[in-house]
Amino acid sequence: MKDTDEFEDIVKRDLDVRASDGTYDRLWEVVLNAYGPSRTTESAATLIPERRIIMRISTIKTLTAALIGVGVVTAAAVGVKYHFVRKDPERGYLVRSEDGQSMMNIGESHAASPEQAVETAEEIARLKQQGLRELVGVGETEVNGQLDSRMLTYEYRLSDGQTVRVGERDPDDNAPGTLIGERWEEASRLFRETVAGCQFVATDEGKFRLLADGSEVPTFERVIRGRTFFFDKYTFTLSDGTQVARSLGRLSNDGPAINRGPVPNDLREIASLRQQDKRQLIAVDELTANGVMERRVFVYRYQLSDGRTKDVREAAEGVMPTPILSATQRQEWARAKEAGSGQDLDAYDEEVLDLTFAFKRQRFILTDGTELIWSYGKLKDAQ
Amino acid sequence: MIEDELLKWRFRRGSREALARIYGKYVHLLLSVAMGLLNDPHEAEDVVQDVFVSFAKGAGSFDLKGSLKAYLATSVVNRVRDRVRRQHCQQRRVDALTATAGEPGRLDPSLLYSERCERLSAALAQLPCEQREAVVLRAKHEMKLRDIARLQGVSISTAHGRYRYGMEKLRALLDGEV
Repeated sequence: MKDTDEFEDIVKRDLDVRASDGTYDRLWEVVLNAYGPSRTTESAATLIPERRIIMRISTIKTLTAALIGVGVVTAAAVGVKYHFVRKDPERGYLVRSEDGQSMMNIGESHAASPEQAVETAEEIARLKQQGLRELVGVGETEVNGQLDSRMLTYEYRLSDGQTVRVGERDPDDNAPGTLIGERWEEASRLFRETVAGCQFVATDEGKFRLLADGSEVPTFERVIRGRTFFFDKYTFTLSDGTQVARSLGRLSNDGPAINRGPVPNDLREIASLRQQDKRQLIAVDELTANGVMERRVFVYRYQLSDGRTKDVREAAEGVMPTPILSATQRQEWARAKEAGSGQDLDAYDEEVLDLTFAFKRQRFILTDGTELIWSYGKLKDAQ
Repeated sequence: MIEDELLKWRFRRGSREALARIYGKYVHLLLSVAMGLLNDPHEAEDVVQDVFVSFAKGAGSFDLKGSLKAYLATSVVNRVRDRVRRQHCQQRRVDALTATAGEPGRLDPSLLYSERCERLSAALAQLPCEQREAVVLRAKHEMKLRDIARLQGVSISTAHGRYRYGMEKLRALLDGEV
């Protein structure tokens, strides 16, 4: 058995990949091409309308991405062939239908090559034609109080088992769609900032998203195409004075229930205490999926004015990683956790925010092979 | 390090030669890191291309305070994670190993690597992702444990544990072969 230092040297030496001359030059050419155009800025108005495909991300993220990505969209052409247009480093493969009426961005999660991207687009078009899809999200944009556009997010199950979500403009919204180009970009930016500034509070009484000032996010229910959606509404003002409201609607069984009913008074007090940082960190809850952080949650204890205490789960450092697990995987894990079928791993102590926590770890393997490591650390002094 | 600081300064001011030097200096290292994390030469090449393309595109707003080398490695890791998120990691691992076993002496024409590299990469693919990251970044990229911990959002002791466990497992997998 070689010692660690020697073995480290072996890894350093042997893990050595070099580009062939041709590859080296080709890559450099691509990099140079990217370098040139970066000096100019394209406005959204000049971009080709396109739809985005997002897999396994939360509804809010899906809708956000869809709203950002689809400034102007026409109904998808179905039963037609697609061909590859170009690859974008961030958005994946852009493909266009032969009749030019439909374009899609196929993310690299769904295609490893232009050919696969074309196949995926054609499969989605076929599924749409056959009605084999499910409406899972709705996003509405109002301009000065009038509906300006409605985006629908459909879920498709591909033949390889992948689930994809595709956003498209509602062909029946009868809305003018005036918010385009730079104003759309500005609205998207303000929307993201508004959502990012929200506080998320979860207790036994439910989960609530509060605006940055601690006030409630307005909510409402509406039936769209026969399905009931629960909407959160965010309002902001563009630099030219235009009032814009964006509402995100999710199905009741898609993700955790948020903002259902009035926000309890306790949570308002908690939001206030949080702003003053009057709270105590008592536990850390982490979950990784195949080594990637799925969530990292801090559990804070708040002392309310009437003497009661409330334990609140909050995203660590205020940022929750983009979810990796699907709703099905989360449910399977919840069942496995409840059944106590996890494999115990080594316990350990770790410092978090200058406090020492005693962590226990468990390993779960889902039926699709996904490896989950769940770590739960309790404040050591409190044990 | 001094050279990197100078390269950053020149790149920020629009020097194409600085970009060329950064590319030439780090492309092979990043390919090796990506291969170690993905065990797939095509994907490794794609990841490194994406990293440099984004880097080049961001020249106008480039304002990096820290290490250029660590920044580029972090970019590779983040893109690899994006891919892992989007794929059934376990299944891919099986596929990759199967492909390797079925094609002895496989040598991708666009990237050049030894059989020992191939074996090492295949063994790395059997580690949990978090340990694989720690091993590749520490052993190959010589990234500090502090930076690995920050990248993984864990404490230094946890990052060290991942590295240690990963190395032990890797050594067990490869002992006698290297």
